[in-house]
Amino acid sequence: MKQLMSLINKEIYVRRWSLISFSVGSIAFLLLYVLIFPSFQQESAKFNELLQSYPKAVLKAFNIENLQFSSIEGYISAEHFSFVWPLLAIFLAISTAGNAIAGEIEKATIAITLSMPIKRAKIYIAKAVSGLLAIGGFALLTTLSLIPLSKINNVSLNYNHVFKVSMLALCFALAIYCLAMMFSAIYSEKSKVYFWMGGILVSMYVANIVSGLINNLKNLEYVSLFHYFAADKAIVQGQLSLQSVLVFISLSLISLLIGYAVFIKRDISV
Amino acid sequence: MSEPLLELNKITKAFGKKKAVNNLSLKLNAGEIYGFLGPNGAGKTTTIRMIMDYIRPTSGEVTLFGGKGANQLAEKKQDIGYLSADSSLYPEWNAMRHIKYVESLRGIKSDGLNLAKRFDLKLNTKYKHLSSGNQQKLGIILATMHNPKLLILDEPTRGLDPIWQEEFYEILRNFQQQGGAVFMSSHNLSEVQKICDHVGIIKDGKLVASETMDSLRKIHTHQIMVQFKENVDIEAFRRIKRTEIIKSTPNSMIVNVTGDINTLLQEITKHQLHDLEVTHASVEETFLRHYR
Repeated sequence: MKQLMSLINKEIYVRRWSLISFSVGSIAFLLLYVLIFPSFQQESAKFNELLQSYPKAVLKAFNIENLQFSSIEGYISAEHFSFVWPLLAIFLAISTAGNAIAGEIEKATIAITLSMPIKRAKIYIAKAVSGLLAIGGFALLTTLSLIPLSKINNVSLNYNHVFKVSMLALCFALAIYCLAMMFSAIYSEKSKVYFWMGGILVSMYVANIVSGLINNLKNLEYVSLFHYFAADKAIVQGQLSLQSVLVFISLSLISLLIGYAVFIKRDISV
Repeated sequence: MSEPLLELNKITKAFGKKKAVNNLSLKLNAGEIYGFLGPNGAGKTTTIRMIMDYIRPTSGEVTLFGGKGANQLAEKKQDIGYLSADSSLYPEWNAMRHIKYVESLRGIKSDGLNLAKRFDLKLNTKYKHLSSGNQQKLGIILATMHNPKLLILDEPTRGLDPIWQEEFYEILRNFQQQGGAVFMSSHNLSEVQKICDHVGIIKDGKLVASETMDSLRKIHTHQIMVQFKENVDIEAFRRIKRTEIIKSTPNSMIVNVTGDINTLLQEITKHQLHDLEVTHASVEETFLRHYR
């Protein structure tokens, strides 16, 4: 257990600066939106009208189909959870996973850990758990911080809805991280992890948009993680889809298990 | 006889059609220092990676302290110190953090700080700011600080200046006296001759020779270049056992001698000499010549 804790501590220690900078950046965005919202709210009718005139594909592209600019939840959903937050979460999750195994093999720093009396299974578990803690912490911190920020600035907010979007964000970020961990366990260069994850996520993003535009391809949305990340429904309407949560959790577990099976058997030339 | 600390039993590692290591077997007992020699790409590092279970043999078995298989090999690493030729440590960490990290994973309080003092290594300098020699010192400290029973070293003195190389040899000799065994690859042939008891040569993935240093001395080749002041009977030298005349003129010759050189030298000094030069053939050359 001590070994496991040492490995987890080390993983979090080496990733601490990216974790802190991404978290601070994301919270700074939230603060900005909370501060701007009161003045924005006064003109919300015009923005809602403008938004209605946007093509459906544009709204689908940014996952903002259920918009209400007149509320802080609607505003944050459109400004933050539709694009900025997922982008930050994706970058952080992929870079954390990419560096955890493939990056360490690439730099050969994994040799020191592999030379210790520790089974590979334990090394993988430690790396996976530390990443889950880091990414989970980021997701919770950067969504739940909306509550104190709104309180400080006297902005009325539905806390229940924030908890729901927080849970959805947590599941989404962990699914991205676990998928990237699987590729990190397979490859020995982190650029290959970024390449595969970039390719898969861009394809999913396009599939989500196309499914909204072409009726015949409506079912395509089900292959996209962005379809399940309906942050607008969670924060505006307080709806947290069980289907979304199950998809994210299933993908996370399957990816982690494949990564585990590959890592304990593969050759590591360092 | 006690069980070998390390045993490789017909290990082969193939990458596609190419066999990087081919049917290699060897044993290492307690108190032995085994020098593993071979040209670049011969399969030295691949062999060491298989010993450390970083890569798995396509066929054959690695046995460490009697244990086989990934799980047992992992446990046996408690008694192994490893220094990789290619590994780099964490660039942003200083020596102290590396030592503490390894101690925490091994669950021991080590001799690392004393070794750092002995090697005159600054503990608070980031790894990326250390010279290559100091980086190698840190690698050696991390490999030896937990008093292992077996050291697996891939080119351990690379980057060390001659003074620190001698210090390192001293550590290895003390380690050997305490019953420790060392398996080390090297390009530094004089180092192997100086400290190893046993030498193996790997070529194209195959162990082409494995001998004790005593046996090696018996087959060790000297090359003697001699220029006489007058013409001599070169054929007389040809009749001396274990000599091979490579090149000759009526008043000069280049001769390879295997083993004892005294007979030849006595014969040479019967004549007036203009010049005489005796050089050692390398261990690798000696082996390859012997086994050709």
